[in-house]
Amino acid sequence: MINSKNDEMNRAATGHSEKRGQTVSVEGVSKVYQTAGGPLKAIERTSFKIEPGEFVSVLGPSGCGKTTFLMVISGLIPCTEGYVMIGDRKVEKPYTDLGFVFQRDILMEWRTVLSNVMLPVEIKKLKPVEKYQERAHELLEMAGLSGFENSLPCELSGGMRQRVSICRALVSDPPILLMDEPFGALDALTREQMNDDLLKIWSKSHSMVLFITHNISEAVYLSDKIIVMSKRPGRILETLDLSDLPRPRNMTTKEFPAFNRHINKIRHIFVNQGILSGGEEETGYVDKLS
Amino acid sequence: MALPLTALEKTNDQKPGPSTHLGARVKKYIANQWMALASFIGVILIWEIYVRLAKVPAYVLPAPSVILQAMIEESPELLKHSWYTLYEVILGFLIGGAIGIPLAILIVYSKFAEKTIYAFLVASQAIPKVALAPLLIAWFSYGMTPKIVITTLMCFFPIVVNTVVGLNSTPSEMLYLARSLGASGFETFWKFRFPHGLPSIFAGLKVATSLAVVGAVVGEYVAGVNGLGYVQMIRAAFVRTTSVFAILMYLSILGIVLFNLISYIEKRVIRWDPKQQFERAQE
Repeated sequence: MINSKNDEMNRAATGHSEKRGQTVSVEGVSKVYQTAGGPLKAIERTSFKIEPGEFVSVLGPSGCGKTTFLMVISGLIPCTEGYVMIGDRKVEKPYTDLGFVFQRDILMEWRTVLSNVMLPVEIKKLKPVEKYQERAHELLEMAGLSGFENSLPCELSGGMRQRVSICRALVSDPPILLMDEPFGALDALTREQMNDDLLKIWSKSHSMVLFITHNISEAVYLSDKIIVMSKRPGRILETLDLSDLPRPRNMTTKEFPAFNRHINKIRHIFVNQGILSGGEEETGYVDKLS
Repeated sequence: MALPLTALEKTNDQKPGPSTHLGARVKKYIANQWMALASFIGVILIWEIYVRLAKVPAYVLPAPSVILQAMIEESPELLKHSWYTLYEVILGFLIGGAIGIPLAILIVYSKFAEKTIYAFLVASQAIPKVALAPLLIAWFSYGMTPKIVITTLMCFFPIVVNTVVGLNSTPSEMLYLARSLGASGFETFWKFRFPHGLPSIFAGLKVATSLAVVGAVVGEYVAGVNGLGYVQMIRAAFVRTTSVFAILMYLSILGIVLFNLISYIEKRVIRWDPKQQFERAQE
């Protein structure tokens, strides 16, 4: 706790280098929930590693334990088996040196936009406050929210609210950013815009992002690596490397043959798993791909 | 490098600015409330006309104009008694809040308190508190104490229940957020749960104001030597119906003033839109 606070202070004082932070490793993690209908296995012995500065998406059908992953990694809920390491520290209690973005924006309705963004600084008692205030203004400007600093969240649209919550997660400049289907509640157009905004903000922070989604093209567009998960109990079906899609990503990225190849590959995995039907049988869609 | 806002995102510009000009505010109030005002005036008119045409005797049903006259004529005496009642109501209400809100916090944070005190409180609602008045007189004698105690008892329950509901309504993600920021228990309460519960707490306080007036008046009925309830009992015994109605009006005004006072404080404290907050919490 003390260490991580010092880290945060140093970062604020010195600015940050590229690819900072520590490796996150998930080692043989299982999670069983005790429910009224008996034990429910959300994750089945899963291991993976994320390197500093990587943008990794976890892609899977609804209810496959994707959210559970974030909860376990951040130490908010304990896992039943296995363990999570961040750097050389085992996660045993809530890990505070990370930013969390939920599907719902979870803004404090009673705080202004700026005060919402400054919440982590306030609670983690980061100093100097002026430095972070400046950063908050920068982030809000990058998110296209300058001029709204003193507005209340109830005056903003859904997309704007979610941008505020992303700024809040980034204000302390954490090396790890966990995002749990952050754009799931937004309409398709706003969602596309948010993807670009996220990439823009992320390219400046170089933090590691673990991004949970069930949207295939969103995952391919944003990520360096995609972890494809099965139905419950969640297991890793495949890990895709997307280094053949160069950054910066933009509209032309979606026209690359590689972009569609990855999307089709993931669809194919889901078809084989029975998560997608693959359409009408006569099309021979499945055969053509294999 | 500000990104342009997409056309899809429009801000809600309908927030009314605070109009400082009194005349404008009165105009706006009438514009908002004209149906309520019209129906109120309508009822008064029908009442007046009926009483006059049917020649209803004043000891059965006095005309509104006669009541108004009594309200003015008897005002020196009634105002004096109003102060007693107001004092009991406010003190009982404040004590009810001062005990009720901390108790609700205890109930929310302690499983033991929830299983014991809260369960007991809910069960105790079966007792008509008005029927406790004779007992309270026996314990606290005549004077103000029994009235304040019964007012407190009346206020207490809605305050406790609404505070408990409010504090428990914090969405689980918000609590996760608090924990992932490393917030202490006190910070989680003070910066997350309490402000999130405020709309519900105020709802409880508003219900409590009307019940507070009921409590004080019942106390005065049973063992009053002062206060509007006491005077009303005496006047009713002498069949001075007009006076009884005038006192009823005083009591109503008292209740309305208190309710609006709490509403005013609520508007000052809760500047956000609680409806939106609840909709989001229930998604």
